[in-house]
Amino acid sequence: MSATRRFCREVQGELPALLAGEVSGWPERTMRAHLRHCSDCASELKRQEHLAQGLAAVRDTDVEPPAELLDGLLQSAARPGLRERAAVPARGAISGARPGLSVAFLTVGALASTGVGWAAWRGARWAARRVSR
Amino acid sequence: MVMDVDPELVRACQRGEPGALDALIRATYTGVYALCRRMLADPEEAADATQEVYLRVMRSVLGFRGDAAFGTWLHRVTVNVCLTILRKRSKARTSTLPEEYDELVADTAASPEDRAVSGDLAARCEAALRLLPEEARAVVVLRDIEDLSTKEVADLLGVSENVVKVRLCRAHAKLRSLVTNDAEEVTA
Repeated sequence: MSATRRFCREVQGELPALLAGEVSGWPERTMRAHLRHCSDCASELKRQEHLAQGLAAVRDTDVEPPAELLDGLLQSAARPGLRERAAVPARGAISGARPGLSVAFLTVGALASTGVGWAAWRGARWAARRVSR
Repeated sequence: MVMDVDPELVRACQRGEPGALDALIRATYTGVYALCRRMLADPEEAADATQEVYLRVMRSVLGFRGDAAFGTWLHRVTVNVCLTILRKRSKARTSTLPEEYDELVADTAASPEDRAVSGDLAARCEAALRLLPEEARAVVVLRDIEDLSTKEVADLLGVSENVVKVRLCRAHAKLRSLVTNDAEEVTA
């Protein structure tokens, strides 16, 4: 593949970022200069703009939830006992941690490493005794 | 996608005030459902995912410290629920059958007149989105529709920014080929 073609691919890969305003400074200037001279990349930009326009229109389109969804959600919220459960953050939420699980892992890890250390120490003592005989 | 609510409503939920949780759900569920629907491309799964999102919210709203806006937190929980479902899915929807696409376009817009007037491009894009493979669709929905930055998408998906760029580039090429029905581009 020629260097020019490779550069075109790089530019075309960055077009979504360029349209989103994520490219600035000299990379933006280099891309814009290339787009002025390369008809392939310029038409790719036009196609990309058209697609971005379509996707923006999708963003503005309302998605109607099924009628029964809200009732189901409100019923779940009304179920007794749910809120009384521990306020443990959901996995993947911003805090991300699960304290109970973390303590369990740490305990198991500590026990395992103690066991390994003890076995290594016993092994070393046994080997030292054998050597001294 | 607007999922933000009055911080006072969130605090009311945390205090367990009657009706606060219902109000929170009413204010945000359409946004949550819309995101699930676009990520999963399946109305039933989207409804189940929405239920799962609110179960997680109800379990953890007491622990929400307000370091970020509630809407940002809810958005992240929703995306994580959808990504978990997508990872569990074994089927890969890569089909680009024209009949299926036409049906989806017809299904997305209310009527041919409506499509002709305003929603044609949006309807075609929405229909094409549903035909993308899951990985590609997730990137496009998060990046182009939810307007997250490349870095935010990379963090959510657990991949590098370059991987996001490559996936987005390929997904766009596929989307364009579907939207314009350009057979040459599909095979490229």
